[in-house]
Amino acid sequence: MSLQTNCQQRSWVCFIGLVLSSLLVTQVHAEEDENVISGAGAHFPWVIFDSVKDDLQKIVSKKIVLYGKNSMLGQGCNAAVKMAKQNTAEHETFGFVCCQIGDDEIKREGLTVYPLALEPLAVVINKSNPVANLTAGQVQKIFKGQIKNWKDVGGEDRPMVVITRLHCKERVTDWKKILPGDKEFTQERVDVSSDDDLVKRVSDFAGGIGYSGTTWARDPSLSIKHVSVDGIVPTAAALKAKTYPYYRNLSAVTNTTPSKDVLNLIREVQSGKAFRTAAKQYELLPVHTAEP
Amino acid sequence: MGAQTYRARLILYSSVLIVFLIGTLLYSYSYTRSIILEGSERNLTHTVRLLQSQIENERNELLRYAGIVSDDLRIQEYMFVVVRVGSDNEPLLKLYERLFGWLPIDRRVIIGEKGNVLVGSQYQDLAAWVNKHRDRVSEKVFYFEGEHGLELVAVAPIVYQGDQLGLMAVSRTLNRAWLQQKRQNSGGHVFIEKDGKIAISTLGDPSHSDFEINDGRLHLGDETYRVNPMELPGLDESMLHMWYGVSETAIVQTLHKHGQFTSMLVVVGGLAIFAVGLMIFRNFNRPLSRLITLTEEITEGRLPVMVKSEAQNEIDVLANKFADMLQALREKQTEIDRVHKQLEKSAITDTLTGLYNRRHLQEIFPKLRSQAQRDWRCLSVILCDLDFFKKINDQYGHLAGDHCLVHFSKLLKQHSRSNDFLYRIGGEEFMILSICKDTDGSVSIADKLRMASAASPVIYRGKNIPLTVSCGVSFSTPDDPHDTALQRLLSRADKALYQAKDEGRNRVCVYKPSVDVETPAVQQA
Repeated sequence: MSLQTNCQQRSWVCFIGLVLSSLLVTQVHAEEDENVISGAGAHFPWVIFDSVKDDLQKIVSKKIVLYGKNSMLGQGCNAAVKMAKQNTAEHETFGFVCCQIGDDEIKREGLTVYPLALEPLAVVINKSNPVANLTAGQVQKIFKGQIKNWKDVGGEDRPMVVITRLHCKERVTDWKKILPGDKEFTQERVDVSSDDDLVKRVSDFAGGIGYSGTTWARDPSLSIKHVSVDGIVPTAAALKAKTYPYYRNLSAVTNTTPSKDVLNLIREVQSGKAFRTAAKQYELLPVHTAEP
Repeated sequence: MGAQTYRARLILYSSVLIVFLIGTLLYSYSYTRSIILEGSERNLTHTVRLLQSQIENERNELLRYAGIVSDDLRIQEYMFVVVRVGSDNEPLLKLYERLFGWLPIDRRVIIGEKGNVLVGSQYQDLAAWVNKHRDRVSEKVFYFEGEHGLELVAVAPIVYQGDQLGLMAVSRTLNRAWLQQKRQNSGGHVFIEKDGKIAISTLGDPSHSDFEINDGRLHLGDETYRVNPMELPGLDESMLHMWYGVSETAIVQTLHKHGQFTSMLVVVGGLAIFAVGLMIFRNFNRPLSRLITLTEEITEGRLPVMVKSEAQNEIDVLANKFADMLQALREKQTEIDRVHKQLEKSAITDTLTGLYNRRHLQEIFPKLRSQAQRDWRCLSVILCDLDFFKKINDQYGHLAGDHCLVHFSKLLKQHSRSNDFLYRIGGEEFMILSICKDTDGSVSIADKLRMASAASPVIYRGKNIPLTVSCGVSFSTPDDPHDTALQRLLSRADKALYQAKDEGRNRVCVYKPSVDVETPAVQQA
């Protein structure tokens, strides 16, 4: 009899426990939704946000979740726009793009763009390649397919392997600084879908040549190096001095009604101390900072 | 005759059972044999189809592997760089090894559009063959016989941006290990035949043995294999043939074992039926034969003793009942004998005195006469008649008379010899018939009887009734054949008795055969 009573008591305790747990979980989820700011977009601005994430979380007292470490062609900037449009009071979101969003798109999608920094677009070649400098004209000819062998630019007798990533063709984007249209690029090229693929291809082929942001090509296992263009090394200083021709615009993007926390967060990235440290590390030129 | 019929039937039934058993087992053996043979044939066909299906799957799988490689964008890009840009193929080789080194294939080659081997330069024979037939092998699986033997090769084109840059070929070597893998769980063997000889097989080492098929069978040493050809799409018939076979020797051994088992069943079953028949014969025939013998003995008038059985089966119960019936019959027979003897005795005995009557005299006399003649002795008859018996009856009553008769019969028994026959042949008339050496003994007995009678009066109800007797004695001598008739002897004794009566009673007279008129010798009281 006592055994039966004990079992009944335990059943009641378990039932009440389950109910309370589910209520607690629901509450926690609700709180989590309210205390999370989600951001998504291209890899390059993701590097910025990710490097200053801890400081941002302290400022806004919310957890920040970022997506974009491995952005692929057609996903990075597009994902940022999509994420920005999803912003609500309950679910705060924003995006970060590596291209310059045009006015038409801003108007059409109902966006607000917050320029963050300029990132040098480095011309990368295989580390085994003895070439260290190219002129802007040589770069253009190489990507046009007019120069096909490294010996023509002072290198070894080796065919050039042109690697391209022609992303965000409708936007004002980095590769257009080299050649304004995709049709101008040589047909004898390898067109990859991500910067990750691009640098790997360059690393694989001794004759490889491509371009990538300075935030990316830092994997020591890759056999790549940057070449200077017209003798200018791709750095923030060169960008500021406007002596280096290739770069990309890194921006944050929200819808038209971002929350105060999201705005604070973006503002901190635009001008905060933490970002300045990261900018130095990745050779980024902050757009709104007084001291680049 | 009945027992013989029963035995004959029993033998007939047992024989029928044995024949039925043998027939059933032979039919079973024959049926099982046909099932095994047909089953092995079906199994052979089925396994061949299964193996063909497996190889077909392997072909498709190999083609899929080739497709996986050729469809990979990175491989396509690297091919493009190598083929169109003119870069060295090292990155392509490294990429292939990095991405697809795990593929379960034996050999692979990537050939450029100009026929140059980009990956797998060590497999020149395969590459050369693919190059030679590149127009007709693309996106197909074919069989190739190269330095490594027979190979299954799948070829897929590598296309980049709509432009075919080369071919990807992967192969699986069809060696003995591969054949072993195919035959796993099938129980048979796979043979690859070329030019009438075994090129490869799953057997120990019969390579280069002659491959000659006779009536669907391949003979290799002591083994015979039932073989079926395997139709493999893409296999050049002039190149070689693939066969699958199962050992018929094993099937024959199985059948032989089954036959031995059936034979053993026949023998054991026959023995069992024989034993059952024998037991039935023992258990039924023996008691039945015994009953028949007993019945015959009973029919012949005997009532033999039958020992009862302890067993409780139906036959034994019947035999015991029969024994009970015999016992009852014996008891009845004893009773009948007793009654018969009693009747017989009463028929020859006088009920009042217990002496023989005239019937007994008629029966016994011929025997006594024969005996007397054989022993050369005389027959004597002593006739005794109680004197004045009518008077006693009248004076004392008939009961007193009966008492006197009993009294005298006792005297008769007391004074007669053991071999004398004592009779009451009339109312108060008695007789002693005996065999004697001479006449004196009988006369003496008669006289003793007369004297004893006279000396012992009858006491009836406290009264003394004087009783005397008159006796007449006659003899027949052995040399007197005319005097041997009973009637004559009685008549003579009767004459002597009358003489004794006439002469005053209470006396003994002997008939004298030498006197014409019977003048008896008188013994007077």
